[in-house]
Amino acid sequence: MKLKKSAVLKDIAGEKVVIIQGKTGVDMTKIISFNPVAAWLWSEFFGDTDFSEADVAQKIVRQYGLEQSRAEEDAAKWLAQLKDAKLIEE
Amino acid sequence: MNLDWLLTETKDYLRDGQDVILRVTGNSMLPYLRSGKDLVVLSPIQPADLKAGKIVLFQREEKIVCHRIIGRQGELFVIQGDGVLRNKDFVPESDIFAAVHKIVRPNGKEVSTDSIPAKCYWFFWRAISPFRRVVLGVLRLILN
Repeated sequence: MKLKKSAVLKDIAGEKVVIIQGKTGVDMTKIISFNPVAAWLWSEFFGDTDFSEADVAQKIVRQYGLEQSRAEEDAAKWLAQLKDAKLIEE
Repeated sequence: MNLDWLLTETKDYLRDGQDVILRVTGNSMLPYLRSGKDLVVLSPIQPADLKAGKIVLFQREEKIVCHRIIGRQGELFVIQGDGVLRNKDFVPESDIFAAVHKIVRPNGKEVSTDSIPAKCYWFFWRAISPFRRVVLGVLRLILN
């Protein structure tokens, strides 16, 4: 999977948010707010390279030294939120 | 987050030449735009947009307002919401920073504000001006 290309991570008023710049225009009606970890993951995986849920878990283990099972849970949660917000391109 | 950033961001994108989508809040543009339901697609203002009938975005103190140009008085544009009975704003060109060319209805349908139905609506709405109070009263009852 890939992160939506037209979505841009921005720093607005001290918060990390994702804004979608679609065909019709910059969509200010669906701004998604990220916590610092979610924002960090976004910047790590944003780009043209495909990644999997396992890649996300591995990244979390490396950065935060979490147990594998806990990291997998967090990765799944992050991806589920992105899917809900339609920020994933399969 | 407060709303200041929304104004700043919107203006920044428009200045970059990008269109911006915002949700309508407030019923001052009834019956054309409904609060919380319709979305407006804003484009950077062009000289050709500064004419009666155009829906534009302008700044009134710290707020952004999306109303229709209804005329001109000297250097100022006279702007009023379709759902407003008396109050008008007299706005210099420099405070008008976007025009609405498209509206996205709740079913996702995009409609042009320059289309013939849109122009007919505006013609009709202007013509029934003396009865607006009654029409708006009924509309507000239905919507509530």
